Amino acid sequence: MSNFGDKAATLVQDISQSEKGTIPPYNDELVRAVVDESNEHHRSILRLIGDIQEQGTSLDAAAPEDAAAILVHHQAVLRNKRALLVYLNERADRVRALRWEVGTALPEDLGESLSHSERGYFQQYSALVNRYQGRRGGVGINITLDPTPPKEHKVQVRVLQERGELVTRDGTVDLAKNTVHLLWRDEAQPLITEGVVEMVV
Amino acid sequence: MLVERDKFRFAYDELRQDSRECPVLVYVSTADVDSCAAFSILKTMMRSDGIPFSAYPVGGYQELQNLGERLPKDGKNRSIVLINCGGTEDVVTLLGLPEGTRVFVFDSHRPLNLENTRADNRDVLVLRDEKEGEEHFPEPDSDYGEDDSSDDDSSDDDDSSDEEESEADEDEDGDKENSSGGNEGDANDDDERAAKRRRKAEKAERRATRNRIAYYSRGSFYGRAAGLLMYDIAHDTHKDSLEKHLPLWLAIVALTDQYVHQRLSHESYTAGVMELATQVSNLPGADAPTSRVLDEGVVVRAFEDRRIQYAEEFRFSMLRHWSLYEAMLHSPYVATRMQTWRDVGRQAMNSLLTHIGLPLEVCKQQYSHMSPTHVKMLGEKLEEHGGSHGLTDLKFWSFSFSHGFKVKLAASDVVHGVTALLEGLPSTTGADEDAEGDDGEGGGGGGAAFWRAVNALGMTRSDEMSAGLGHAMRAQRALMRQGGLALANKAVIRTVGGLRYFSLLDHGSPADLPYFKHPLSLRRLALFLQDALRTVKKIERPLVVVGPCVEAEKGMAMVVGVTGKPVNDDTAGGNHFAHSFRRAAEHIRAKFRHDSFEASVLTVSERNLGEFMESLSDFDAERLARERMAAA
Repeated sequence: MSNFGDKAATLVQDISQSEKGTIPPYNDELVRAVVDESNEHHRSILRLIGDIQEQGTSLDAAAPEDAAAILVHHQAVLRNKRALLVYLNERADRVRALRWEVGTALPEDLGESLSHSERGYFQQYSALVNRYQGRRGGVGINITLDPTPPKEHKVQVRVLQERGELVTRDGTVDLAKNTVHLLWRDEAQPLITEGVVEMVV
Repeated sequence: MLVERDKFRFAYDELRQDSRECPVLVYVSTADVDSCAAFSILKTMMRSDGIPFSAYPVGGYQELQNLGERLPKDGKNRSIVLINCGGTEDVVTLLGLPEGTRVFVFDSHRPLNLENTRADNRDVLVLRDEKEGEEHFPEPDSDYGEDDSSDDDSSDDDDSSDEEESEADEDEDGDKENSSGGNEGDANDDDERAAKRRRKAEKAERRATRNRIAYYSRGSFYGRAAGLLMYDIAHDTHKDSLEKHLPLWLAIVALTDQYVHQRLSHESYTAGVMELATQVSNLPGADAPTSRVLDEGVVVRAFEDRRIQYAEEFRFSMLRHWSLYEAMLHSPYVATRMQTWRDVGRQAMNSLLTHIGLPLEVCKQQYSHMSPTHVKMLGEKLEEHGGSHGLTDLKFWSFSFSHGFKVKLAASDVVHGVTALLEGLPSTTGADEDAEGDDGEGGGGGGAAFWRAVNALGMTRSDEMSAGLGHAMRAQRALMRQGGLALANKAVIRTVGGLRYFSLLDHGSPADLPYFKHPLSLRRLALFLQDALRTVKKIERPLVVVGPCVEAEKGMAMVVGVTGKPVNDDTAGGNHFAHSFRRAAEHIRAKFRHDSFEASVLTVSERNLGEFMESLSDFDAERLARERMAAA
């Protein structure tokens, strides 16, 4: 057995060094190794206790070196557990964030880097969000569109490319080059993504 | 019709009503900072109300007319806002207004077209503050003279008052004949009374015509800045505190723009400053302390999140952004008074600084890096010693804008910086010019430059503002170089008849020419030369300056005229070149364009320049003679 807790630390490092918003492939091998290591610690503890009891002394009166050994193994298990939870929790956070970014459908390449249970988690979380957004029993709007609520419902845009007339809720707008318009946010959004107009503050 | 100050608020309400059917169309002139400021205020208001709008920068009458043609004729109620354009032309004809369309005019250009101001013209609403002074707007035609009203309409469209005069005269003659012919036939009492009434009416009509002519023939001048009109609305509708009181600052900039570009008299400026100073002192936190004492007893400047202050400023342009020495050398105020284009003048300036006790190397370092003791010394001593060098009223009341520790801008700095952005000056690399070349339709500036200027006026983009200030300083250097050269060589400024004439095309150095492609910059040069000539020469004469045109118009030259008398004087009247430019160009049948909202700017074919000047001087002589006759 190498140094106690090394593998668990690698696991945490992996997830913390990966870029925010991405999900690195689920490191099944290492997780398993950490669990194995913890089991090994557990066995060591049991063995140590067995040794002490064999000698006929009570646990309370064990030699200090034996007691210390048990404690070290115990702490190593706690540490591994904590590291595993950190790893899984961070991944769970990112999986949830995924629902807000990509919507209900999990992209193929991302799905592959999730573990089986993480995929299940995503489905269930997605269902929850859908129910909240739904018309029946929910708020009835798509809350994932604008994660930060917009200050104003209209935006000012400057036209970069000649686009002719556009029919909006407020009437017809002539999108001539180098003109500025105040449009509804949802009507302007596609034009902004297309690059026909740019937002002006 | 005219909308008086107390009704401004309702004008905005109407605008909001109309916006329910279609977006409000805003046509804004790209010619000055005032327009940018006015537009920014309007934009802030409309945004807060969610009024949909579409804004079109326009560079001249032609563009305005094109926009008018594109107006859909769907009979919907639609509002158009004109900012600093259109007021001097008959808006209904110019835009070809479709049914249901109403136009709100915020224009500081005068004279207003009387078709726009007549009370029964309900489609055109001209916003005007009575504080401006001239209360009297002659009605274009009274209800009496029905038969000649159509003729009058057409004559009102003309720019030149004299054509109008002759036409109007003819009309009157015709009318007289008609009426006398009618009188002879009947001897009835009733008829006699009718005839009397008719004669009275004719008299009134004649007086109205005379008033009308008097009003137009004053030449072009300026009324209340569009930015101030817009601010009045913002104030009345309690929208002046939006975006951390940005509208108030924009109003200040608009007023300062008029002052810096010599569009209003010192009296009107002072009145405007007083008005705005009251608003500034009413701002929340206006009396917050500017310094703070730390625990150890050290006094430091308090952090200020955006603050407008009312203070006296030196008349040195952009003082905070370059060195004191350069600011003085390049400010028209010092340059004209000390004649710094001559060696003697520069020496005088050096000696003045020595008298104050400021070492030259201190003056030549960045003003913002000067030690507080030196700055204090400057403030105290300069006024004391300046007088003996002709620098009398060294300071003027103005405003400054500060944001945090870093940004501190005087209102005039902003005007200079934004003006430079509007002009779309060539950058040092020249790459910038290429990038904006395709947009530079309206003479140097154009739409892209306009939006850049508006963006900088938002006061959040300090990088844009400093880019503008950098441009402005380069332009100012070029102006002083060219102006100095012109003044130093006696033969360069010629006298043609009663006019003085200077051509940058003949005498300007090619490297500096790109700085004068915009009417604003050429006018600045003309104003500087005129100010300088006023101190050097005994006789005041109007000055005409010729400069280059934008690339798009090869072979054309831009002509700018300034009057002999300083504009800082209300009695001086307007710029008479507004009339004579067009007439002179028409007279010689030259290829020309008189499209700018600034009536004292004209582009004319380079080949016809000589002829044009001669013709212009003839018209000017005619004008002088007429003035003399009127005086006698």
